[in-house]
Amino acid sequence: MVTRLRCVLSRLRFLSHRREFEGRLNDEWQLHLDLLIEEYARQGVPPDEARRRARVELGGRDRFNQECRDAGGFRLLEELRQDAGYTRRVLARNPGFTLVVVLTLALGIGASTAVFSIVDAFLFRPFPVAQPDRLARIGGLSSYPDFLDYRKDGQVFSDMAAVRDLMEFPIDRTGEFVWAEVVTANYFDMLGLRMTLGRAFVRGEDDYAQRHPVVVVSHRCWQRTLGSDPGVIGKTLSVEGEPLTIVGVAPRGFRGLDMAAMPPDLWLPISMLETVKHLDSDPVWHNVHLRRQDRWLGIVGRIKPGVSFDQARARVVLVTRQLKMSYPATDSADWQPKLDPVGGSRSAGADSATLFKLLIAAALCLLAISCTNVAGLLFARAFARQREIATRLALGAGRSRLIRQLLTESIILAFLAFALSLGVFQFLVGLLPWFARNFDPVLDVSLVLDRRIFVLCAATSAVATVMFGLAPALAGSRQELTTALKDQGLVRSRIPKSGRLGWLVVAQVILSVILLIGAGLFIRTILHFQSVDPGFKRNDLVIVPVSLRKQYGFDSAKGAEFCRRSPENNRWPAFLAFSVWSVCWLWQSGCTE
Amino acid sequence: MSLPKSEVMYGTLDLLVLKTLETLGPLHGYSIARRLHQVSREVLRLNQGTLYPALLRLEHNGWINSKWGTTETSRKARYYSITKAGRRRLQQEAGHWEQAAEIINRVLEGAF
Repeated sequence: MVTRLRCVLSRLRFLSHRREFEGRLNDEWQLHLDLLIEEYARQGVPPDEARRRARVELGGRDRFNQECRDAGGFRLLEELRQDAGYTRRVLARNPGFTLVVVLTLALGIGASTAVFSIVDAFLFRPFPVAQPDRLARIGGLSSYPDFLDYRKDGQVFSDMAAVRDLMEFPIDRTGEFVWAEVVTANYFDMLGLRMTLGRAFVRGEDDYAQRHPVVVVSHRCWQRTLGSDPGVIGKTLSVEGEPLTIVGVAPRGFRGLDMAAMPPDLWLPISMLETVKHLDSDPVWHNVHLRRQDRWLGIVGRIKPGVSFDQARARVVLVTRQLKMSYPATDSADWQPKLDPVGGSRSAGADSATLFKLLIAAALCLLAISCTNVAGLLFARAFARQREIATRLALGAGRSRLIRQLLTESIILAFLAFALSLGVFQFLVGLLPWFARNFDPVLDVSLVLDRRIFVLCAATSAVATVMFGLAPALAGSRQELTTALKDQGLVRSRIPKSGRLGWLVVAQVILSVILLIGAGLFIRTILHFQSVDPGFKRNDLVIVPVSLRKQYGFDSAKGAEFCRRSPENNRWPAFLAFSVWSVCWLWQSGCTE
Repeated sequence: MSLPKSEVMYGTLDLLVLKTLETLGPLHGYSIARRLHQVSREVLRLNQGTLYPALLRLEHNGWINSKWGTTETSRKARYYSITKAGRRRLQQEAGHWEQAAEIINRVLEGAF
């Protein structure tokens, strides 16, 4: 092994000092000649004859040089250079062919890799939490007292946290709307997240007896709204008039446990729910944590080491049965919580999973199409080149040499395509936010080129290119030279009857039709979404968010008055009419123009 | 039967060159060829196209190294000398050769 390595290194040293090497060969040759002449002279041969004999004995100088060069490891390099040069000329002579092959491959690889990377970012990349496969979610919603009972059981879960997402509400300083979740204080610790800044919630901060106005902000919120301020910890963020102390910044990429939902920007202790939402006077939410019949919480637990998922599930069923027996009035019989792996529910719901599968299928189709296209092109050219190949064989080119040359050609084509496909990937990924600008926060996942996927796509195409690129060599070495060289008619007669070409065409047509139909349907669906008639004219409507909170001087009477009178008191001449309502569902669909 | 001149049995050239260098110390290419010629009682005649590629190969493998020097007649010449790895290699090769020769001899002597 060491010897082999040294051998390679030594050869490389020679290769990099080629001039020196040639000089050395010259010197050696000259010395040998001189010494030989001297020797003949010593034997009494006259100088001219000595010179002649020495030369005869030494043999051809070119051959000597060539043999030494081969031993010096120059031969392969020399041939590689020849091949590369020849390839360059061949490709430059057929710029159309080169362009089409390279573009087709680059589009195929680039687009497939882009789609795979997007799908991977949503579907397959594990949660940025510790051991996500040990996390489980109790399906459906539970009440707070039930949650406490589940957690108290402690048989199969090492820890358990409750989560509830809130509606979006505005940050007071900027008026920007953010999404928030309320969680139990152990939430971040249970997930095993390392905060970017500050700390997670600590035990007792979710205490209902003494509420703690603290908040953890998401990495994205910290960057966008708080300007990546490194000294943000301890500062106050005012939400709906409630000053909250920022205690931590969540790690980058953590977007809650539900990939389909809007990623939360803020996390608050669960006991802050009422305070922040100003629900004290709302009978539905007031003291909701005390009532067993109100189910509003999601529960996530970390399964103890050594406990299987099925054991955990059985335990949850058992505890549920006990709860039903203990509280028959509130925990009704039809309440059937089940245990799901968190990773499994991450696929953004069944619909999105199907969509992603379709996308993957489309990407595979695209890759296959580009490969068959290129294969077809290379194959067609193989027949066109039969005369050339035959000529070169007739001139004494070895089969292996021919194959090496065609291999060089294919590899150079493939490499050009790889280089271009990286550009295609960047371009497509750059387009994505533009396409999906209405869903911007949902798409806030980092899209990076997945090396494994790129290598896979590239390897597939490379194999196809090389395989079909070699076709002329294989066909050429089989054919009889005389028939190949004789006339043009051979091109037609040599098209194989085995139907390989026919098979290619069929595959190509089938794939293209599938992709075309798929794309057509997809576009129709999107167009359909955009043209859904909401039942009113949207073009001239403006939505103005207003907040009728206590801190702005409203109470329930004044608020009701505002809502009743605003439509009548049109103080802005630009508006024709007013209407007031409490929840605006059209918010997301971009009709605020 | 006379041996055809300048023909070296395949795979033995390395052995011959290494042994020559081990016995005689640093030599230039010409004197290696000379020595082999003499030692083989004028049977072996190394072609330049055989010797120098072999020397290059041996050098690549680290079994010999070379540097410029001057001959007795003050000509510039490249001198080759055996390295430690070369000596080890020589021992191995010689062992293989003896083994092979012995086997062939026994077969030829009819020792079935």
